[in-house]
This record gives sequence, structure tokens and C-alpha cells, in this order.
Amino acid sequence: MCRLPYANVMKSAEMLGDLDERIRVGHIDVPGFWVDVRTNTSMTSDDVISRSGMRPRDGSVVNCYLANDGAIVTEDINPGQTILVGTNPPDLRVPINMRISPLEHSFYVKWERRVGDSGASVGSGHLADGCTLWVPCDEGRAIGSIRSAVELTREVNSNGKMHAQGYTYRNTGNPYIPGDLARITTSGSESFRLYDPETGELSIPVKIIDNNKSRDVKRMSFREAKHKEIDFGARFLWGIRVLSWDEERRRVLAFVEEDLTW
Amino acid sequence: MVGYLDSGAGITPDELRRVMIQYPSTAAVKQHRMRNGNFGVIQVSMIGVRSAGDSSDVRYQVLIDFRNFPSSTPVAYIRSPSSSEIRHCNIYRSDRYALAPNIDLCAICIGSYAGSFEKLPENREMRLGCFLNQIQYILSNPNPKSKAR
Repeated sequence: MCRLPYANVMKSAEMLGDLDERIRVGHIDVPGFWVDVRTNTSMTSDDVISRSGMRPRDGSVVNCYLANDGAIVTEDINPGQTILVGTNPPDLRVPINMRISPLEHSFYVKWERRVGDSGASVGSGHLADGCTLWVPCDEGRAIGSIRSAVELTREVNSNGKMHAQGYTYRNTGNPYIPGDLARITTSGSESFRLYDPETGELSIPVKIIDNNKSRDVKRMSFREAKHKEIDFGARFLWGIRVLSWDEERRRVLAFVEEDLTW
Repeated sequence: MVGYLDSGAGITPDELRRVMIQYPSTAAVKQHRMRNGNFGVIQVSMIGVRSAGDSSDVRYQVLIDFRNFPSSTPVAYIRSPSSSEIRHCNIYRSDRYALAPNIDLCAICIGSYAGSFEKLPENREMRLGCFLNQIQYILSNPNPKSKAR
């Protein structure tokens, strides 16, 4: 949702050293909304709710839940923990790392890690709230630059650190051009759709090629990807490479990048 | 994505979720879903006082018309309690409005706040938060100098 100036990105990175002197508080009904409560001592749930500004004003009763397993918090909350506030427990049928809540970011790609041998990499950098965002990119192309990206899923580790998965898009002209790398979800109402900065939603349909005419065995058609899922397990997110952008219908033809999926 | 006017008139789904942090009982009125996907009217439950002389809690169901938000001041109405039960001096007696022609609604008097609202920075989040705060303030602090009933 937010476009962050570069200075803020760097500032948030510097603040990461203070992770253990804060309690990170999210809201069950508002994906991507996080508040840091600075403290060097443990606090009661009631105090955390008040100090995070999440105490309802309409008399509703809210509780604190652990972000990583959804258990209700009955004891004091320690610095370094990440919790969720809400009127009801988080829906455990949908793990927090599988909740789709497309959020726009402008972030500095600080690191890059090569994936497989097809030239694909995964770039990463910090968001303003300290979360690390991971995006697919071509090797050497993204590192050291500020990119517009959309966050798809977020996972909170047991140590309270957050990692998000997303992909970059273009702010000028067409949001995607042939050769761009992105990710799609393979289940749920927004599956097989890319983020459209014009609508702010996952609304660009993606068709995965039916036949793979490429000699590159890392490029997979829909059928090949499905066969791979049978052999190596289903993947919630598929890494894809854009083959063409249909400007008139705002849709994309793509193939699955094996290295970015398995 | 959420520029001042880029998101269009009404409350975006994301803004509605933000409202639900402080007012979890908030609900959008489905009939007033706008063409741009935003919500034109929402219902919020707010706790205020009974009257200037009686500070006992009253739960007010407030309908807020955001169809011209953020460029114009939203309009707030009390849906319940009924007009005959209301003792708050800044709430008008019931009338019928185009918003919900079959329901008796009592408009909330916001005094000269519309002028203040229009001077607020062109920031959707701030305007939304300020307006809700103002309605909450009125319901909690009746002003007998500006009687509506």
C-alpha cells in the first residue's frame, strides 16, 4: 500500500538490530498492518492491545493470538514475539503464509541469491516494518536498485522475524513485459492472476502455455508443471516468466520457471 | 495505489478493514457498493452517552454516507436507538433520506465541522480517521449550545 522513500527503507534496515526490544502486533482482519510496541520487559495482553492502538472503541472484546500458530495468549508477552489481535482466532485453515493480501512496496534490493542454473535469482531487501521481501529476478539485474513490488504472502518465524514473498512490476507503461519474472498462486479465488497496479488487485489473468516448444527443460508448460507437482509435491506459488503481454485485454501468457518453483 | 483521488469515491475495502480495527462491528451496506468497487455506506457501532445530563453509555448504530468521500464531508445518521428513545441533543429527530428511504434515520449535527473537514490535508486515511473521531466525540460529548432537537 505504501510507497516508501529510500531513506525510510534504509532507516528500517538500521532498526533491525532492535528486533528484540519490541513486540510486533498485527491485526487478524487487516493483513499487512503491523505496529511495533517498543518495550524491554514483558507485557500483558491487555497492555499490548492498548499500546498498539488496537483496543476497539465499540465495546467489542479482542484477544491476542500467537502469529505463528494462532494459539490464544494467556501469559505475558515477551519482547521479540509477534502476535495478532482480533475478535476471533486466526483461521488456521489458511496459514498466515498463504494469505493473499497484495500490498504495494517500493523497496531496495539489497541481496541476491542465485537459484538453480537457469540464470534466475531471488532478490531480497527490507521493508519499512522490518520484514524481508523476496522477489524473483534475473541474476545481477535487480541488486542495488529500488523496485516496485507487490507482496503476496507473509510468514512469521517462531523467532518473530517476518519474510514475505512477492514479485516486481513496472510503474511506467505496461506493468509486465516479455521476460519479466513473477509469481502466481495456484489455488484460491485469485489464483493464476498477476497484480495490476491500476486496480490494486490481483486482476491480470495469466495463461500458462499449453505446449513447451523451448529446448530449455527448465521452462515448463501447465501440463509439465502439474506432472512435476505429482512427483515433487504441490507448490502454492509458481514462479513464472512472462512470454507476452496483451495490452488490449490486459492479460499475460507465461511459462513456469522450474528453478523458481521447486 | 491509494492516492487521494486515485482510489475513487467511497471507502476502499482496505480502508474498511482499517476502520474495523477500532470498530470491529463495522459492516458495509451491500446495496451501496459503488461501481469502482468501493463502499458508499457503512454501519458503525459507537458507544456514546445518553444525554448532556446523563453520561450512561448508549450504543448507537451509525450509518455513514461516504459516497462523496474524500472530497466532501461524509454524512452520519443514527439508525438505532429510535428517535423517541434518543435524548442526545446533537441528534436530529427522525426523517426519511434517499440513502435508505424505508428506514427512519436521525441525522447527526456536526455543527461547523464540514468547514474543518474541507481544510484537512488531501489524505484519505487522515480524513477518514478525523471524521470518525468527530462523530465519536459528538456522541460522547453532547453540546447543548448547538441543539438539534
